[in-house]
Amino acid sequence: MIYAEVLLEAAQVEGTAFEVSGQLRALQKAVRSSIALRETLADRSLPASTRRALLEKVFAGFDPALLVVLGVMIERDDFALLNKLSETYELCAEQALGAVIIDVTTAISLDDGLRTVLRDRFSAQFGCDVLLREQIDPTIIGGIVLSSHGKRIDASVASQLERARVALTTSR
Amino acid sequence: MAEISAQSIDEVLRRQLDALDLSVEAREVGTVIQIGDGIARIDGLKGAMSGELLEFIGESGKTVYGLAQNLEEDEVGAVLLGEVTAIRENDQVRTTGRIVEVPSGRGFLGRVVNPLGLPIDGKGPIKSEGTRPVEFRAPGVIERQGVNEPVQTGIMAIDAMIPIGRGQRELIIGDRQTGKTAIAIDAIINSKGKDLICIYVAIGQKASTVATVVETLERFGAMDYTIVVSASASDSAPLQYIAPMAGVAIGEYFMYNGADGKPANAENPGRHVLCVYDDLSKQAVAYRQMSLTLRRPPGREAYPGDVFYLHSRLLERAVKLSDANGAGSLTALPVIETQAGDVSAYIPTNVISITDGQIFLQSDLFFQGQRPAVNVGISVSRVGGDAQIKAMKQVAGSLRLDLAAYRELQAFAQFGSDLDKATTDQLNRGVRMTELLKQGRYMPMPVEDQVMAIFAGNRGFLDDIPVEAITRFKAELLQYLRASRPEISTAILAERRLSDETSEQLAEAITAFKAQFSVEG
Repeated sequence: MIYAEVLLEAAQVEGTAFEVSGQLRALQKAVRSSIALRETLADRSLPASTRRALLEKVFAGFDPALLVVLGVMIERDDFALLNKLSETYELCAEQALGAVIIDVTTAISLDDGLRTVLRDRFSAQFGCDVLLREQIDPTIIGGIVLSSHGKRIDASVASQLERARVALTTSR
Repeated sequence: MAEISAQSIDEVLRRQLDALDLSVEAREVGTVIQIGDGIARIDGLKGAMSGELLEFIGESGKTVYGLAQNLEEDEVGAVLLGEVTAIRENDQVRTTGRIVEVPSGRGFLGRVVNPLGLPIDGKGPIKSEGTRPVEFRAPGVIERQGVNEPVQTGIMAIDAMIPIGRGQRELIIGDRQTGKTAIAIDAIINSKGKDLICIYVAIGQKASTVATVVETLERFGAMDYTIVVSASASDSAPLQYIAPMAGVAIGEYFMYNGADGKPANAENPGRHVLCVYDDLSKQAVAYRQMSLTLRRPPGREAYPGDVFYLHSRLLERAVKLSDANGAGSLTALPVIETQAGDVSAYIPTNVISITDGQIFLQSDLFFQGQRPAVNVGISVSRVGGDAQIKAMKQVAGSLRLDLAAYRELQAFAQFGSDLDKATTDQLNRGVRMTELLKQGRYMPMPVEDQVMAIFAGNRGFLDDIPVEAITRFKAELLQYLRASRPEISTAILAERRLSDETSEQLAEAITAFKAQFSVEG
């Protein structure tokens, strides 16, 4: 996919290939969450320049290369390919960086010791570098949730409690 | 009552939590891209299977189940089976590796459940004995045997001329308000004490209508052996879509397992089940809605191309199993509602071609007072004849043809008044036989009573009775035979045929009754 390749090339020049993948995910999530934003960005009755300006305003702090590529997609009426862009970009970025990107969700931020332990363990398993994309979600209460390439390992306290709830409410 | 102590609570909790599996496993997850109209589009889930049960986790932690339907290159289209509003964009979706299953077992008898097997009658939780997949491959040729036992509906017009066998699929078709549901309910009521478990699946009906059906079944003591599966008009289209499959799955549990709950075989016979799908037109409409919102291409009447397959795979699950498989049976009574008697519409023609016969109900007959309003001329049963008891075959063998000849003559006789005696006699007999077949709602008749009543008509005992007195004659005759000559009905039931001796006794008893019968009432 040409958009993903161009974006990766630009991000590599700036040395932000990994950060852009995280921003792309966040942007994708924001667009999905807001029907108004999604429909406005894809609305062909509005001038492309207006939609582009809106995108730049809403995602002001994001990588400029990312906003430029998305702006071109809007101009060419390709904004519906956002999901595809995100998926392809991540695969290309992993190849280019020689690493696997893993999303790590915890209730409080990881300390350096735990971060190193996780990185070393996964590096040994995958036989390549590992990049941790960290996220804090207090609703998991404790433990850790790992996900990569559509696979998810949920070792959070919240899910263990949920299993206990199901066991207690369904057993006789 | 046992004393509850802190220690006993602790023990119970520990015992229950011991069963808790705390192992962590990798599961495939996707994200909801878009949701609306009970349909979710999901990013990810590359390994999802068609028809797989999906777990949607809402923001509040609430789990809603869905069904994977469209497996596309970039996304999965799924239908939601529960609380649609609990799920939003960006929520997580997990595969489960299972297809949709419903619980079943004896605990369900007498209960009203939704298509997921959850009770909706306010009578508390149901203890299930097992689960059955909602989608299940119908048994093959080797696993079956020919239909050879009757399902007695208790309706004379049907049992005599359009007999239904255990394992058959007999369509009940007609316009609205022609008595389709009444026939199905009569069949359920008449199954009391006949070793038949009944499943009534209400699809897209008003909840008040379902409540009335349940109340009627309770009134006649039929809920003891009946399960009602209800997906009412206010339920989502996916629930209405899976309702008949859920009903048949609940029924299959009884057919594939013996009374002890273990798989049926030659030594452990399976049970007999009657499944009423009321009605499949509404299921087809729900499926059309689901398919259109899933962006599947519309076909004739905007139904998706596989609506025939939807009904054929459901109705193929009706079966009479071989003796080696326990000889259980599942009889299907699908109901189809027509618009202004148009049987050539898409769904009616499909279901007519799938089933083993159809019972046509007509509005004009209904309003003429012919109830049940069965048009016996175009109603057929393709396999039920093998399942009729011999006594019924003996008395009703030529009834269909006689009535057809009568209708032809009746149309012809309207043009002139000079008719020869043979024609007048035939018309007289026809009008009396038609009157004899009239039957009240929820008044099913035992097969021996039907045999005796038709015998009276066939042998000409009614020919000199005024038409308006026929119904009373029939009722009083049967009352007389039960009270004064019980040996006749006993002999019919025992021998299952009308021997010369029984015929003679019956003719003699009818003559005796006729002598005392007063036409004036």
